[in-house]
Amino acid sequence: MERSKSCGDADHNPANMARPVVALVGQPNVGKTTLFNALCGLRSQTANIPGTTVDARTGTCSDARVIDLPGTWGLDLNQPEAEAVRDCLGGHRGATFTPDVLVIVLDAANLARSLHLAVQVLSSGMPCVAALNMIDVAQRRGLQIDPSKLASWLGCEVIPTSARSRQGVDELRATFSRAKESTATLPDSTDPSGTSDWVDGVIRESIPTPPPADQDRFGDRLDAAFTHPLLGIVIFLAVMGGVFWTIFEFAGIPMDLIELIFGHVGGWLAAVLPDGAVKDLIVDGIVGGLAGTVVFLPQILILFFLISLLEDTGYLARAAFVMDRVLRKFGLPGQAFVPMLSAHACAIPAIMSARLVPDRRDRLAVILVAPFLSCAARLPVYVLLIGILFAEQPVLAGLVFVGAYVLAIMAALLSALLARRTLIKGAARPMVLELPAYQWPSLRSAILTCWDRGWLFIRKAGTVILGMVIVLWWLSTYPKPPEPVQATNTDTSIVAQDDAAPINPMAWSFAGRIGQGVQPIFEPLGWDWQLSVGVMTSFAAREVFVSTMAVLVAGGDDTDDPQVLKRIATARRDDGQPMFTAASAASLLVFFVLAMQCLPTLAVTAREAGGWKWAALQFGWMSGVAWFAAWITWLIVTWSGG
Amino acid sequence: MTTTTLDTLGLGATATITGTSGDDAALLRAMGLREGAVITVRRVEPCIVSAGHARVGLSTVLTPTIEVAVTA
Repeated sequence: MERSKSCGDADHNPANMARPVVALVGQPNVGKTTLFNALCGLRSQTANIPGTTVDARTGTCSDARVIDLPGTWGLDLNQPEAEAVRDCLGGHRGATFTPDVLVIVLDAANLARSLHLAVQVLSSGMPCVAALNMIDVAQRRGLQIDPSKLASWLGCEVIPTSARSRQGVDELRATFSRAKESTATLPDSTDPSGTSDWVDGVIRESIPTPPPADQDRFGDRLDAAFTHPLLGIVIFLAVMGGVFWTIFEFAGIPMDLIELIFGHVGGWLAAVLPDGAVKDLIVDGIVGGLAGTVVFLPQILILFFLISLLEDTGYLARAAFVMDRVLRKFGLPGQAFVPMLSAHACAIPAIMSARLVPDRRDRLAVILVAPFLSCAARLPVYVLLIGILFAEQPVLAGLVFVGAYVLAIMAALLSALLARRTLIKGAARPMVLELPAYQWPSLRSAILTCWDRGWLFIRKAGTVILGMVIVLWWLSTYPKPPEPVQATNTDTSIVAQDDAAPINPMAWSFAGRIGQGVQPIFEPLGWDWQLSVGVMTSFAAREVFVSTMAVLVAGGDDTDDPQVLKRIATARRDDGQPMFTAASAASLLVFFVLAMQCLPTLAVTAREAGGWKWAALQFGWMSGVAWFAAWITWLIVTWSGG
Repeated sequence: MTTTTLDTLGLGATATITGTSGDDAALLRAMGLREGAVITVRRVEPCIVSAGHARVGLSTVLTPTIEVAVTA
């Protein structure tokens, strides 16, 4: 096997570079990631395997640099994970991902199945050791495995481990330096029947007592409930309802705290820095931009903590299996339900959680349509517009509120269906999923997952998002309107300015001018230039619309003040006509339901989908759908006398 | 011993896999649903089978592609 360590190296620390690279290879659900966490703990990060769409975790322990390669059922499969592992073993993905030693992680409770992959890995000719993981689970099931017999068949050291309780982890680490190429006579890994015969021989000798049959009656009963066509969906909705209740209940306090801290930092900087462009940039651009980014962190951490717990218990696999039948009709896999539900809180963690979807095309479809779903940031706009439309009709207002959510869900599902039939063609991969045994979740794994996802968000998305927010802040702040000047008897040339109306800073800014420039595009929707400016500035974040309108038409930015909201609702155009008619408010509501107006989401889409072209497509498609649906709405409401 | 496909088996039936076909045959084999594996139907709709101590959930698209010989 030709191997090179020339490119794609992400780790340049000389101390780390001296350590051997140890790669964990195994099938899904064999406890590979738990073993990685036991070896490396917090000294790890998620990195993209160069030239692939697959991520792997990399970390360090005292003896080695460790890679947690993606789980794959077999090296010969035509799947991205299998291809990535093959490439890494072949040394084609840079030094960071070119292992010196392979740790084959075997599932002691399902040894026969693990051995088929083991044969393929051992045949690579690289130094190997085997971790006989989940040995405690196997023992509880009455399986007595002889590690020395197994070692003689595999031709390498075999260390029984239980990564969850850290049993055998130190012994495994000690083998890294003495790992050798397999000395066993292995079957031809491309010959299925020869490999099966060999596996049968290994099992006969390594497990002398025939294993007892699967008698997990408790698991059967839970499966009957969790995968029931109707009850399964009810349980799933209850569980996810609990997840989101937890997010809303517990994320609020740290989010307020983050805003408070950044508010104080901004206030202190505003007090100590001299007035000018640099102060504006630091206080409003950088600190404001950072606050707007970091504020999402509590939601992300709580979501991934709970998802990790659910995944660990074995429930998530059952839920994916149940939802598969519903979502499959729209070209989406069952795993899509987690991101699509998360998107109702915030599209950013939703898109990040699309990593749960194993197939790249399926994942791409989920990422592209998730921002259609009504996130929490849309709520202030819904409240404002529905309040204008149905001020005295609370029941109707409630129905329209629900309708906004339904419209968003339908747009997401139909867009997914269209994408899977055109752009991301190909039948969705039929679901075949291992349903792991039910178990208590690992708090340690959940915390490490939180840490990993949170850091990934801050490190990758945060930098891009911050840059974009600063650009948008600049566009909506500059140029500043000219200062009003007091007329004097000696300066007659500026007397006329005394009588001029004060210039609105937002309208004077580049963003405001762009809003006025694009107003003809929004005219068919029944909007005047002020509404167009409000919509343009809200492309940074939807909730900005309300504060922009407050500044533009109500002369203040306190959006909690009912008088300000009332002034917005009763504002008039330049020609004296009401700004918000039933038709214009309805079309604006539909536009906000469907439009992509969140720069941070676009940045995360670009990162997770693998390029800005996907973010551009998402933005273009959602904006186009939003405009068209808003136009149809305006026509219908106008024709019906609204 | 009668040969049939997995989608025709009822709850609790035990069978030996005699073959897999279709685009996902290699994946099914790698997941333990290979020739000679003894499986038990744990749930019919949606289909869940156990092979050894592993449980695998299968889309109804896949169950007709798995040929089995019924043993119990």
